[in-house]
Amino acid sequence: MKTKYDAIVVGGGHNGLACAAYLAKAGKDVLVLERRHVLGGAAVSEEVFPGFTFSVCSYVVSLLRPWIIRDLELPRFGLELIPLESSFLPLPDGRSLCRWANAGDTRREIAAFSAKDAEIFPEFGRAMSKIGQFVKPVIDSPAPDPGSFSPSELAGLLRLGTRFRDASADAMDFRLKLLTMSAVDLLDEWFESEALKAPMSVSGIIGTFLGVRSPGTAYVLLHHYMGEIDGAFRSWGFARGGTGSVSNSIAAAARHFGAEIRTEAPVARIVVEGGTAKGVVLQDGTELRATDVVSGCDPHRTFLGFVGEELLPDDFTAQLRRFRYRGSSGKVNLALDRLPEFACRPGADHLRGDIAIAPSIGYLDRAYQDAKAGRFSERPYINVVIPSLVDPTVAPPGKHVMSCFVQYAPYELADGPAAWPAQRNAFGDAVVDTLAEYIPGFRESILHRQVLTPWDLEQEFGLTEGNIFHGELTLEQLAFQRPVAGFARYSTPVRHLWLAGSGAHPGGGIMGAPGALCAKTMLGKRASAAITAGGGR
Amino acid sequence: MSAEPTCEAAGAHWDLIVLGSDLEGLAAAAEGARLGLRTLLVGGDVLPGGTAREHTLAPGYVAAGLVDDTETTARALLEPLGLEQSGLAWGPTPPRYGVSGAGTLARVDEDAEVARAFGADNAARLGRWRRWLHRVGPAVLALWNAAPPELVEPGADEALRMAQRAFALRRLGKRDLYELLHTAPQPAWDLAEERFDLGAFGAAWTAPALLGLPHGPRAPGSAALVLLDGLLRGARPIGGPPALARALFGALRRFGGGHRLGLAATRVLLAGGRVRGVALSDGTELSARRVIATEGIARSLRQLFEPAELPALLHDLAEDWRTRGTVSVARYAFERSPFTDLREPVRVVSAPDLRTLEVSVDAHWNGELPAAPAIVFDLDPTGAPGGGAIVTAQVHGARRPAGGWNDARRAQLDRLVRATLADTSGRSEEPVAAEILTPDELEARYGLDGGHLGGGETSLDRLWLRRPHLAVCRYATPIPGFYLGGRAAHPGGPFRGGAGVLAARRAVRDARGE
Repeated sequence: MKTKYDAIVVGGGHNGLACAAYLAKAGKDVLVLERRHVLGGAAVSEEVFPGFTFSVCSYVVSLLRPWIIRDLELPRFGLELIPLESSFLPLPDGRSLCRWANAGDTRREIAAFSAKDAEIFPEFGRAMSKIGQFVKPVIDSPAPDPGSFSPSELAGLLRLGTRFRDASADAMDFRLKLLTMSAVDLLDEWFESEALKAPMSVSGIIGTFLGVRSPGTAYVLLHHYMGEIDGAFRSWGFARGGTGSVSNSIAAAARHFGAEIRTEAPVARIVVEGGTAKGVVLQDGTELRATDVVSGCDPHRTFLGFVGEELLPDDFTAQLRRFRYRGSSGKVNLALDRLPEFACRPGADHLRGDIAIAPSIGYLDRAYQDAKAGRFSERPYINVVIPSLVDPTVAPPGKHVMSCFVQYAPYELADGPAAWPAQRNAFGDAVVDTLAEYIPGFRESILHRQVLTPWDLEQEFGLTEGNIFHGELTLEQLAFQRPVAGFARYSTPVRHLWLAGSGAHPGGGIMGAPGALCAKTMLGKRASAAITAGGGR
Repeated sequence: MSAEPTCEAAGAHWDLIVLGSDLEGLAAAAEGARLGLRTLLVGGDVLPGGTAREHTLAPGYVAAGLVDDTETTARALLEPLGLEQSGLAWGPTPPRYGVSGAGTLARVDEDAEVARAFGADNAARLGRWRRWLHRVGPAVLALWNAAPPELVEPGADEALRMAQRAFALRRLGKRDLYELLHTAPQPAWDLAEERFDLGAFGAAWTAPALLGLPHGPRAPGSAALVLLDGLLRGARPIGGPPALARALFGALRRFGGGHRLGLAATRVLLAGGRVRGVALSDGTELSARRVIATEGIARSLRQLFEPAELPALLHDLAEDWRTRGTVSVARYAFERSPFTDLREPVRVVSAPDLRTLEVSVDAHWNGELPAAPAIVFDLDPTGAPGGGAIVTAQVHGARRPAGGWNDARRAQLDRLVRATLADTSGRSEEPVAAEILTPDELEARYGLDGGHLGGGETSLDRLWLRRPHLAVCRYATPIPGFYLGGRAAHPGGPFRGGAGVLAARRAVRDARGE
């Protein structure tokens, strides 16, 4: 077997694969090493129970960059995205609110709660889409570094400043506000109905140990408005076959361009000699050499796990140690023998998108308070999807898979994270009990249940502290500070070692941007140039 | 004192009229007069000072203002007023105490005592924190003690100033600059974990800075407040807020400014869309080309203008400006000080850890009174006869329990505060006089919007460029001649006086430009 490569990518998650594909496309000789038997990392599809295929961890495709889809010709390699059609909120009092792709339908639904909100809802969408256009280039290019004096960095900062100022005072104010405000405060300025505000506000907290009232959470609302088509209801969708199909299509592209991919090939350590990465040693002792080593794993695992503190500058390690993970969510995957029927709205049309258990802001406040006290939320925020409704390939006929994203499930329990295995079932029960309050006969419809606590996400998927984004997406951990100021350009204190995962700019979600931008940086291309050609449209 | 309106103002024509006689209004008027504008201070109260005024709790027991936030006075901005000539003297910041692990009080700002009570680690951390503040202080304060940059239409001058300030920040060196950019947006919780601890020591360094937030220390951006608190504290006017108010009033008169107190302004008069003067509650009209409003934003905008006169931006601002006061004030007069050997004012933070602070503030979102709130006590022996003290407690999270305030709930809050004080000080005393001021009462009695003690929330999205809005953060508003210079403008909040001075300078600059 070959033992020398241009580049070895540690971790076959979607970002590692994207990096490998770009490198291979540029003619590099690339090897990807994945610990598990299946590719995708946290963007993975697995047949957890016979006949039932789950997007085990991440469950919707949010901001997968269009230029990556084009560059790597992903549809050709099997990628098929199915947009989410609706967003459904059941309420305990028997009412419900569904937002649809069709603006007229949505307006009618909202009007049942507030005529004023129904009126203004489209305007909110337009305002957000406009700002989305401003933010997009930021996530599509490496982050300029305010600590550097190099002319190109200064130019980058200036460009950013100029872009920011390219608007009226009120529009600039809105941009500043979005970055710093809480989701609830922002929504309060627009809307009056909790049924609208509560399910919208939660996008700001996903994967982060914050509440819907925490400053800085408004920004994530934008992600829902950053679709390619302006004014589109959502840029979120399912991938046919589960989110693993995204990873698999990128892997197929990488292979097509000549990359080699090995699964069940766990890396023990990254070989560093004289401050330079030289290759990796597998857990079975095999040593593989490469000019460049890329890690798609999170910063903690990469540096403290594979490299070792002793080979890193103290200052870097100190900053790495305060990089915050604080996993706050879990996942419950259910195999159902029938489609759930919500008491407040029977039928299935409104179940083809996502379903939010977020009945009020007070409910979300209390869910967060539970987490801050070191316990999982007794009544959590749950984001439910039933992909089998739109993608019959994932469940046997007549049966369904239900994916429940659950927050809060704090990694750090009052008795420490190791208390999780003992609480796993209780956590799963809390989720089922919560849903059963809305769905009569729900418990009886469950054939199988998989419960993933933050502890499990760490153990099984290598996500430090169970953080689904490889580190919190908070202001001080974004852009030039992700993961460590001065090392946000995919390079690391170890020469020829690169970071390509969600712990690098622009961060988590099935975006592919960190992996692709890392490859572009390695190849010495002006990454932003590629972007202007691709994503700046 | 007389309750008659006082007037020391000749004529009805002025260059500048300042509305509101709290510290910001006094500072604005004094600065306007100093810079040569014919300036008139107008306030609804007969005596100047607003929340900074002395308040008699019982014969012989006088509280120095509503709360004492003068240790974060924007001193550098007040410097040119020469307040010393008006009798002001600066003393040290009151010593700050926290509750040590042993349950006794110990200073958190004095190395030896920190080492003894909170551990050598914390003493070393305090030293590092101070050294870092010392390094980054000048660059940060240069930004903070100035109007926020003009982003909307920067001229060449402004662009140069911005470049200079940016350069000063970058001259900090990479490490300190990165550290600053790491610190400012983070939660105070994380700052405490990295710089202090999550126990009483860390709580003592965070709780006072967070009094203007409807959030606990886990709120992103709350670290910026701790940082600013650390940078700005260092000197306090001896005598606290009333002494500062007196000196500012003295400066106003020294520079030839006038005042009319006891009659509130009811309207700002416009002609052709720009300011031409103000109308007072007795119907008097005063003419001026410029007016600085220093009272609450919602009040200033809603009461001083007809709805049709307000440009959309100001209308929205009045709607959106958040003033959820989440702090109740309890004040007591004690014949025997709860601290035996109290000779000077001290600040005592009663919170065993940051979690207590977080939970206190959570309570108000649940519509409850916090069961064991974090409380910032200011003990002042100077307002009481020998051996006594005035104790002012600011109770985190005591906003408005479900069903509203009533006598039973106020009594409950009173018991809670006194029990905490007794626990903290180890001495249980009956007060000579007591007073509970909930946010509702703060609003009614002092005219504070939403009962907020700092003119509006100091959350991350309401600081600097967004205090109160990007388009008006440089004090001028879309109404020519009308300026916002109260605590809802930068630096505002607990950074006393600064907004008034900067608003006055802006008005002066505009006047000279005409």
